[in-house]
Amino acid sequence: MARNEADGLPKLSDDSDENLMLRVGQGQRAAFDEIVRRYTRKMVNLAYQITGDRDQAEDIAQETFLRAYKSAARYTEMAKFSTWLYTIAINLCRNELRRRRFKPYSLEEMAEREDEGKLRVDIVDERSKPDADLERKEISLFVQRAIAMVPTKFRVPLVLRDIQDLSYEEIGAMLKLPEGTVKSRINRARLKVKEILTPIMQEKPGQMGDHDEV
Amino acid sequence: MKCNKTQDLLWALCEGTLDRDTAEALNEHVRSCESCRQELAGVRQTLGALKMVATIEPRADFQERLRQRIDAWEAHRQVWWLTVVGAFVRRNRKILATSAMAFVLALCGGLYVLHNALAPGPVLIQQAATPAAAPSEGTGYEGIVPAAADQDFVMREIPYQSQMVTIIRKEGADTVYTRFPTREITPPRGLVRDNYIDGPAVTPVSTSEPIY
Repeated sequence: MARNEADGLPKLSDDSDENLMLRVGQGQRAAFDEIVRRYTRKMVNLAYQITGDRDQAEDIAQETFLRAYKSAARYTEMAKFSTWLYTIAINLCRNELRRRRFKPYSLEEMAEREDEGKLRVDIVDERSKPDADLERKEISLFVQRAIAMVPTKFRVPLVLRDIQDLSYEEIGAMLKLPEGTVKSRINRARLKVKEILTPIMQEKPGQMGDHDEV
Repeated sequence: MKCNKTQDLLWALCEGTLDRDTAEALNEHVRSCESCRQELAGVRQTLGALKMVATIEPRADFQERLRQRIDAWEAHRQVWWLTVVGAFVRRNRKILATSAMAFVLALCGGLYVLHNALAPGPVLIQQAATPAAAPSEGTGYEGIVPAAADQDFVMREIPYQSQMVTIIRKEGADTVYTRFPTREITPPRGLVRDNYIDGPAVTPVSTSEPIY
């Protein structure tokens, strides 16, 4: 591992997340910049996939980092840093979703939401050449909407497993749930998504992507 | 392997989390079961679709905005102690003023009580070890019993007719008062009952020398 000549410490880019966080606790602001660089995209996408709102996703990601920074002096290596950071972000996402549940919607907004609840399958004009990129974006939108229709309790572990690629063990630690419960909730979420996507998958066979068996 | 047991296992099969023997048994079943084969296709498509969720790029100024928020928090934290102390005084100004006033009042009250406790009160003459003889006939003291003895009077109790009578003499004066506790007592001759105040009273006639 390359080391700085000045203080003998590893270079920021080579140091582990946990060591970086300890260095932040000692007042090294540059160490925190490195953490932010490593996790910005993950945090923003995690929040986006759970809440479905891009602006909210960035706010939540910022708030996650700010809280981590404020707690730096008290950080110890008791937990894996990424688990700790994800837990902060997940709790903020849940708070946002809870807040939305009680927010009164205008009639227009309610009508929009009702429309979103029904996934529309656009009729593809067979005379035009489908743009593969556009198709992919359209499918991605369908899937995102299907995920948004899954209850929060099942949605969060689904996103962590099937989109963020975290292990069952890590998810259990973040959500403070036994592995069995995590697997059960993920399976229920998958069945819900499958149920919603089945008509579209039948409409567009072979375009929904395929998961190779391991 | 039966179909109703394969549903949950199909997801695990696609994830690669099944043990080898179970995976082989499941694959064997799927090969011979149309319904489970279709189900497996649906599972694979769903998992594939989930991987197609688009990722978004954070806005270009994300890190700069975060840096500004952290700087603002740091600046606020540096003067927190001034804020805390100032806020405490401002918030508790009334309570602090009230407490000080209460303390001063309590101190004055305590000093007053202490002063009274230490000041000399009325002197009571101890009852004689042997009760003095009752006034005999012929001697007489009469006096109006004051409503209440105060510090100018010296009091003395003596037994008389199974009661305790109080002889009260004004200091520096020749007048002696006798207070009888009840009306039933017959005062000695020469003592006239009059103006009962807090018990029988007697009108002073004359006095020159106290008999007690």
